[in-house]
Amino acid sequence: MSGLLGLLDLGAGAYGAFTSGAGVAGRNVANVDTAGYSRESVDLRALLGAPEVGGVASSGPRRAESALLGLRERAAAAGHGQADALASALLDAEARIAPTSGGDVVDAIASLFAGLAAAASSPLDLAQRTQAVGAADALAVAFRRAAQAIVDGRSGADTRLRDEATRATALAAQVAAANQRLAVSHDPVLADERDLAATQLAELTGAQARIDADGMMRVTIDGGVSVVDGIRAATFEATPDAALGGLVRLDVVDGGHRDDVTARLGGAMGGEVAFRDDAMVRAAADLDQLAYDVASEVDAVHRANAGLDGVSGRDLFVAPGAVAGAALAMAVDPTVAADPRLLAGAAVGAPAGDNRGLLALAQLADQPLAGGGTRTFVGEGVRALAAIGADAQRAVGLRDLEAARVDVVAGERDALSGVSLEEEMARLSEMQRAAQAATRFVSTIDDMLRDLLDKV
Amino acid sequence: MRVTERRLMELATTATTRARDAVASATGALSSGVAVGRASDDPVRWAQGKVAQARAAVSAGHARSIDVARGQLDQADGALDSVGEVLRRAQELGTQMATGVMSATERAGAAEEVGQLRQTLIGLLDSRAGDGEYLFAGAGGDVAPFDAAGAYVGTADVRAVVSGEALTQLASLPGATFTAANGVDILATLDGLATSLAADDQAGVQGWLDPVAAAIDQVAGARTTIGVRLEALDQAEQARGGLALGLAEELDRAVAADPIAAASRLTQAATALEGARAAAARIVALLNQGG
Repeated sequence: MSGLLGLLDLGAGAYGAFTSGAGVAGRNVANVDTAGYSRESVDLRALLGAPEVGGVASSGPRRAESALLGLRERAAAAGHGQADALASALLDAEARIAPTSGGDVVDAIASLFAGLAAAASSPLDLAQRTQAVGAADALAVAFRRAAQAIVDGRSGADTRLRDEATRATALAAQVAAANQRLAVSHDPVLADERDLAATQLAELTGAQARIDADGMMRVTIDGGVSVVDGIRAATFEATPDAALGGLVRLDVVDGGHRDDVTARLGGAMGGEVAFRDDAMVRAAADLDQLAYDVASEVDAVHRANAGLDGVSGRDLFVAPGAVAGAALAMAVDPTVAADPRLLAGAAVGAPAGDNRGLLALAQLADQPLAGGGTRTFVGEGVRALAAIGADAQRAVGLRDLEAARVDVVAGERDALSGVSLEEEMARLSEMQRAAQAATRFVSTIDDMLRDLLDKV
Repeated sequence: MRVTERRLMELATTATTRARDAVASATGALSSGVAVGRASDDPVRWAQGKVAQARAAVSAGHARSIDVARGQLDQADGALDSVGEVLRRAQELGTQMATGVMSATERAGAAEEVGQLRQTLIGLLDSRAGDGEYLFAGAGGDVAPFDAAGAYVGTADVRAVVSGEALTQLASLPGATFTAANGVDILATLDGLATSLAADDQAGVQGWLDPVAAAIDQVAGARTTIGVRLEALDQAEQARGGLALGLAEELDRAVAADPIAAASRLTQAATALEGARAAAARIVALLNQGG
């Protein structure tokens, strides 16, 4: 049988276990709004009973966590990060390329052909000619503005990628540092910090993390390129690349080893890359091809006709040298811009009042001269702008879907790891009562000891 | 499933935010009347609307073209009306002077008047449009088509104007219509009549009456041609107007918000927002009670 002194030990041990539980509950309450915090608990374990003293002991705080849920949380964060970045960038680009207030490329094409049709009815009217040349200039401006919006959009994505590379490097370093500290301490706060950093890294880069048997978190991109390996973290470097027109290439650098991950990134950076190197490249190609087709076809007709001075062979638009860059370089020929009388409205050799040149120019509106000879200029312009809108719509739909996925996983995480104030308050009260009982028990044993000593 | 207070608040906040966004969207559609403002709202409907809008803009250019052409043909018709009057006066003088009762002095006076009528005729056939272009010059609109001698120096071209998508209409009458190439040379006819009158040549005057009558018919025929072209332009404008109306309806169908549907959506969204707010308030009350 245990002696009174042994019972005192039992009471003291129980008191310690219950105050430990109360402490954990208090910490849970304190961190109820801390991002990434996983609730903790203590396990009370009965010690051996009679003929030994027995009693209760508490294990160290234990995090409520699930490795599988962590994987899903990071995968959802990566998907949402990518869709959100792509949707935001595309919506912004769409607003600048095709503003709802009008004045986009399609409107300008329509205005040009309306102006040419009107001028054809009165080829000697300088006001009509000025209006038609003005419409041509407005079209050139619309093409340049749209092309510049694409350039600015890509450049903005590039700037964001540079910043995000820096943040990704810092997050990878945080994961590695947490790995190092967790190797010597099992502080749940460190595990929370590591999980949070890994989730943020996934949202930013799409990198996926797993915790191996040695307790170390390892992070890779696209299943191959190592970003964090134990206590070693690679860095993300953004390097201007001539192959990308001076925009940055994203490398993961680990010591002397360098992997180009530009096309393998997910998360927000993957979204930015998809916007910069895919959606906007397609949009620019569409716009350049349309600008090239409009300028080339209009110029061909314009050259074959003569201005009021009887001279033919002039271009209305500065002749595009190549398809690439045609939209950004589009401009009305400065000679014609300065003197609308040079607008080639008459057939070669015909008197100035002849309007066959203007008629031919106006009738280009109805011919399938764009989209590889399948669409009118307006039709192709609408297709190109609608393609940007369709990309944005898909990205927004995907963003909503990914947000719902994040929400579902967040609900599951909350169910597992979230702090419930009611639960914690009940737990706190339970531990407090138990500690009071342990105190009373110690006090009783102490009284018994005193009685015994008094009688000895 | 275990749900914490924080999660409850998150869900309440998310539901309220979504409901508020839906109300804002429905209010925007109802107040602006536009359901599809951007391609990303609905690429297919936006494209349909954009094509209709662009076609309507080009069609407005066709309307300006038709309007200018009609104005010029109206002016030409007015000038030819005066030309007809001038020729009828010449015919009247010729008919009077072809009788034996007229004296040489009277024929000389008539010759002088016919000469003046001829000058008036040249002035009328050299009429200019509002933009300064000569109406009967064919393609040579910046040069007076009839010189002082009454010779036609314009071209025989008839101007076509764009009246619709892939459509053109003839919209002028060249001065060549009034030369021998198309019947009689009306200025030469008056010239001949004046010469015979001045020479007191009764038989000669008699001989010019048929050509003057032919000239009158020729001008009437020219006015008929102008009338036909004006009619064609009117029809083209009607067709264009119909197209513009159709395009406006197409644009409306594609991008405009149906007021009833938009109002219904707004009501639903407002009800949802009210519900979300009430739920959020109850959650807060519940949590306060618990605390």
